[in-house]
Amino acid sequence: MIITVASGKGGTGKTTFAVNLAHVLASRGENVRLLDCDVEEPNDHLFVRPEFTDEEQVTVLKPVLDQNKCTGCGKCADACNYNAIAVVKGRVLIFNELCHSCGVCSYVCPEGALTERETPIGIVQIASDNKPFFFAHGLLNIGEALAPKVVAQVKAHIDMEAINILDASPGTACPVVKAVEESDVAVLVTEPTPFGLNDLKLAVGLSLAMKVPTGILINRSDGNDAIIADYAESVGIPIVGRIPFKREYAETYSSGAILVEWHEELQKILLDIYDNVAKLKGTSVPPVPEADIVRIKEDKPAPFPTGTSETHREITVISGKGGTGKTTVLGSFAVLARDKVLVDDDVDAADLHLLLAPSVREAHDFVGGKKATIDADKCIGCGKCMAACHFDAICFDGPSNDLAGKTYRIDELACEGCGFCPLVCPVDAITVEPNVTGRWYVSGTKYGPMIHACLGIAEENSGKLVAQVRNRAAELAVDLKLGLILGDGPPGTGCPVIASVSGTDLVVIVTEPTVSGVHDMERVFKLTTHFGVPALVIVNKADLNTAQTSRIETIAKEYNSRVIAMIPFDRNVHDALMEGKTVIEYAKGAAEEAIREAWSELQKEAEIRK
Amino acid sequence: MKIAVTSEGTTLSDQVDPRFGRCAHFMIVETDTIEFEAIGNSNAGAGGGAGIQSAQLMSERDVKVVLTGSCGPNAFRTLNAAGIEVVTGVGGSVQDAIEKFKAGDLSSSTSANVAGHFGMQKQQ
Repeated sequence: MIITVASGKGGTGKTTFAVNLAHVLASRGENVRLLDCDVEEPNDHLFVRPEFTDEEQVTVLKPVLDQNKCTGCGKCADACNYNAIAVVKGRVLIFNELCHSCGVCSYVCPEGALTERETPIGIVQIASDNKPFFFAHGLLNIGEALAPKVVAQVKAHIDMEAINILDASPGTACPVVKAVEESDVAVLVTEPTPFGLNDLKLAVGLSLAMKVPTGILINRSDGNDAIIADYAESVGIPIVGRIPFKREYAETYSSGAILVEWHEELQKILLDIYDNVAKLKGTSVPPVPEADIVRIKEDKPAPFPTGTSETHREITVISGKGGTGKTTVLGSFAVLARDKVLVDDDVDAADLHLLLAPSVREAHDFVGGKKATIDADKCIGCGKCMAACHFDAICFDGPSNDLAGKTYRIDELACEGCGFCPLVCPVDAITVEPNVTGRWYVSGTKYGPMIHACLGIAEENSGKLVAQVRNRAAELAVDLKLGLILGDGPPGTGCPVIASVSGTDLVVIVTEPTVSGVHDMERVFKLTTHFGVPALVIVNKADLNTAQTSRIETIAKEYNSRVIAMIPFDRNVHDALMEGKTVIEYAKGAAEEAIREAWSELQKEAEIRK
Repeated sequence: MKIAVTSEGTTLSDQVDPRFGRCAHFMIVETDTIEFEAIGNSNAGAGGGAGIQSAQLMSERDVKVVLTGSCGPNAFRTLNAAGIEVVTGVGGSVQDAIEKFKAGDLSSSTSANVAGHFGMQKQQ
């Protein structure tokens, strides 16, 4: 049995569910394996606290040059679709971090000077003797792009005799596709808020497209979760269970403890959920629901408000861990700030529009990469493409034609557009074309212009799309003489985050006082330090765990930063979100006051740094 | 001597583009005669590796010195391998930059002056 735990949004409780489910099943005597497939931000080990007994290198094939054979002809650089090779003055330079290990360069080299060699990109750590269950996780080296390869190696530890629980990374990018692939059931963890629903839809699109039986788990359910239940019913996906909303659970989680050991009532809840999940194995999968359509406002809108500023600065909110309240904070700043352009840099799972209700004025296609297609009329079924492809992106299940009983077909989710297959096709049946992978929008909101975007499932180059929306925001700021750009960044520390923080004037890290919040905040600090961008910290739900909150203050000091505000745990935050409002608009209260203070601190700080 | 200046436009009065790999245009200038050619940068919108490809273009054009605002590590390594000198921190108009260079007021860099991905964001 393989159960993959996924979610469109970070911070919904994926890790909590995966770790605790492993515990209750193991204590019932089941043979359980917990495999953390979130190889960019693995967090399960913070709760499992394993002693690793083995370590495996994860390697991919990368080109190695034999200088003696190279004539400097430059064919390798021309063929590389990722700009990973340069040939200057007859010298070949290979840039490994841009290399996608596609094998094209070695193939096109007429001298046999490039050979593919195993090169490490990460590790898998294994705790075979861990009690009460087997544990393994993968770690991708920072700066490497090929997370799916590490996920695949973590999955090599699946034992078909056991109950395998896979914790996927949040979102719908390639590593999640890799984790969900060949699972018996996908459990999508969500929370009953408009953000939760929005991101759940993305995850549903992915798991159903992959034809994996899917169940929805509602975390932090307070009894009023119709927002998710209605959606689940409309798309034909069962709700496998609910974990109640309790402040005590959040407190236990914050310290890194195992919930089921402290809250016995959760044991039965999780076992019931498991029974519902197990029943889904082998069931038929409903069709992929149609995506929400973004409509362009037809009547002529009023022109955007203008300011008087000759220069502008940019403030970007990021978090590391998902679900810490980034968008909640930024949405409130959007209400408080004057003369600004808003930009949603989280192109993988945009949420800001849920609070600011933009009306779209312009829509643009985003061409983010290339994809191959096989002409089913021309294919002779020889299989040379399949043998060449390094990404397992070619399937032998295309329609028959006059030349072959079965033809080859490209798996669009797996294709990296490297261009190898057309080189080997003897009948020119394959073309590689630029591919529209997303859309981006210029919209009007009550609080000023907003730039936002939407990237397709398992699409690459989200960093490039982030750069695109930020550039448009900067142009608008200049044109309209608005002095501020407020950016809502993506979670994590990967490519899109780098694209969000490079060149921004000030970063605000929104974190929470939990073991994983603190862990991920440190990773974000390393990133902002690397890029030389000043960063300030806001602690959300600061009173949840005061010990962790003081740790945050200490770490911030170590990075020459400081905590500018502490937002208390306040019911209003949740209630405001349920109404699709910012905390500032919703009602006066402790959180509202703290956010106002944060904004005035931020203005002071930005003034000093000007 | 043939040099290249990263430029926001196609005339000598345009501003130096602060980004190397993703600049709008390269002004290829013969310093003895001030004959110049503006070439659009087709790498400006690349997904990744814009600096590397731009550096390769400089090598193909047989440029000896590059004047720009900022240059990242990959572009620097490539320019270096091609034996091209890099001058970073250059601002003002393209014309000014060329004159300063001819007067010997600019000195070349020995390393990249920004981290990778700098040029992903257009600098204002």
